[in-house]
Amino acid sequence: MSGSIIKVYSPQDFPAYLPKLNALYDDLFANGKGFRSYLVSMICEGLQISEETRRLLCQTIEFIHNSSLLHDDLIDEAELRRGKPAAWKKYSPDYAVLAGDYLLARVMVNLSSYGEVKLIHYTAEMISDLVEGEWLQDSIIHDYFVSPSQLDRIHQLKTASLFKWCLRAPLIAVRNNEASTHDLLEEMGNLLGLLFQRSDDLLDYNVRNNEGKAVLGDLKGGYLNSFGAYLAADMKPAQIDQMVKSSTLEDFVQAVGSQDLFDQKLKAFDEMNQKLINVYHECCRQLEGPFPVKLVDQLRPLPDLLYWRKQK
Amino acid sequence: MNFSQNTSSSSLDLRSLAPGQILRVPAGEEKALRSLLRGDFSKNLIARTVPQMKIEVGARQSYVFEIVEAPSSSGLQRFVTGLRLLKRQDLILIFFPFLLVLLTNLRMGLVPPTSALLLCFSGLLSMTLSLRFRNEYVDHLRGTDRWNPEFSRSPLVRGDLRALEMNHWALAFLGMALLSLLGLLFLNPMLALVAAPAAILALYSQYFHLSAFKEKPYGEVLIFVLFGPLFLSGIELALFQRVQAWTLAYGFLVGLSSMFLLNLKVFANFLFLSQMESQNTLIRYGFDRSKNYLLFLEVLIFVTFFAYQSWLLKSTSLSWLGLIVLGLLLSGVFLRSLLAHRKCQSSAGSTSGLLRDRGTESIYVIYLLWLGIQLWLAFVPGA
Repeated sequence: MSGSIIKVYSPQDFPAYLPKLNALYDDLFANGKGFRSYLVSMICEGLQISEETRRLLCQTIEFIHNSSLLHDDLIDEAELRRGKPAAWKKYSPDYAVLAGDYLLARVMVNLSSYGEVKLIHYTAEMISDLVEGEWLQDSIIHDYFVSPSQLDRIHQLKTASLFKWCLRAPLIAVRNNEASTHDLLEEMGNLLGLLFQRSDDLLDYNVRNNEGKAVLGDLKGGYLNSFGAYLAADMKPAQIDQMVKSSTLEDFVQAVGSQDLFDQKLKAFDEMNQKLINVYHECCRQLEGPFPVKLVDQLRPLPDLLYWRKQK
Repeated sequence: MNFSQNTSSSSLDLRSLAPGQILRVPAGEEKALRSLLRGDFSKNLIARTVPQMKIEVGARQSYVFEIVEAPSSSGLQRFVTGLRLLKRQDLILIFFPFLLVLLTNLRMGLVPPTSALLLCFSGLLSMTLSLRFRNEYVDHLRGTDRWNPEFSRSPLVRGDLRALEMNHWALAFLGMALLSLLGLLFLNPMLALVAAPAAILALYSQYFHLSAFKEKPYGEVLIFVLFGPLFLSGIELALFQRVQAWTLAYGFLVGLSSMFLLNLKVFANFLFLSQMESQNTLIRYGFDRSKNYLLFLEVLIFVTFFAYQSWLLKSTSLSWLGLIVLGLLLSGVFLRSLLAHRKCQSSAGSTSGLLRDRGTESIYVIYLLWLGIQLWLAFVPGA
């Protein structure tokens, strides 16, 4: 099956003498969607990269992603993760931090054993971008005048960096460093990351919220996400103040103006993102030279999966 | 592994483009890229640049365009659209020194020849327009307007105008500015001492070196000199055929203010310019130290201005009262700006923009007060 999910975590990979570590990781890796490792698998299988390399890359991205989740949940004081108590809450904040750090350490061990320096370098850069993005996002908590383009810059660092890695790392691992292909994949990764983030942000306003994510969670946490910033861009300060104080979605819609106005803005936001999807499709068209057509056909529907939340 | 290596891309065929098409131009397609950016690839179509996240300066840039129908507006309508690019700050930076020199000399009973006044005014206006159009053109060709959100309202980014046309306007107004300068040089050849270095620097930076002053380590020093002592001396030479000591003193403060305004703009775009690896002083200092540097500059400007006005007002009818009122006004303005400094905690959010806005307002207030005092001294009997 193309892009099959690899089980990235095994207790045998971790020392048994660290109390609660394996229990913590069992919880952490149990219910993730594994989209990033799915993306890596898709590229690896399409390019006929070895199973061993595929496993390494899938494990790397999931370790990094989950490490960031462990730390994020503590920073945000989020009590739930994937429907279960967050690691810092269930175990302790100390263990959550250490568990995140340990995953990153294992990434370094595994990649350096593999021995491809460019891959190690690129992965380190990605982790650096991820941390920068998180840092900057933390610095704008309670800033309700942040512009959508400022948020995009943050999301490019904290979200898109992982998607770019998923697309490019397999090629770097097998020493394919063709610059123009990497430029293309970088562009596609940026677009996927942006679309994924914007779609995730819409869940906060109960738009296409199939997974039942808590409504207005970001806003109540003091963070104006991309759709919120998009709505606020045309608002006066008093209106933004009312919006920020909303405790229910109904209050929020009232602050925006009306349900009709909210729907109009949503439609415009969707149209703006559909244009990005069109750009992605143009990138796919250009990828038909360097990549097998079958692989490109698998990559093509990804924005619709991520943004419109269409089923696979 | 079994996949085809990327074959080298053949040159893009720009003749087959259609409205609504998305076009990605990879790095290396210089000729096609230039044509798309300048807008000379088609009479009926314009290539609108699509915002991109990755910032890469130099040859490795790829661009994404959306092809749209060229606007059917007339040349005059397009020119009016272009005029909307002219910012308030452009006019203030150029015409405040002009008014300051004029009023200060009028206060001393000196009146410039009408021909010099008209030539100077028209030259400055032409130069302002030329620089604005040329800046927009250069930023568009460099790709800066794709990354910098501030440019998203530019008519070049929206596809309302062709970059090529904007460059033609820049050249036309440059021609008019040079003609005015020639007229002034005819009236006063000594003006060449000031005009020549300024013109060479400005022309070199705009027409031979596609990069902005603000991104260079020496850039703000050049701004200080060009928009400060050199500029005010040039205006006084042009209008009154002499340069006085106070002109240079005023030039110091005006240059400092221009440098401060430039740095405020840099600060408001800190994240983006850092990612562009700009060599501006603020970027090299880092975010936190830059805030302190800006505060230092602002305090220096306020103190220098107050010192100048104290010296001016001391022998007038409103000396002490005037100074007290001035002091209170300046304190209020400065406090407002200080609050914005304290609130600014991130290079990524809105607070750096707020600091820029408050700092800019401070300068505008200072300029307004300065002109007001000069007007009062020049035209109110018994002042």
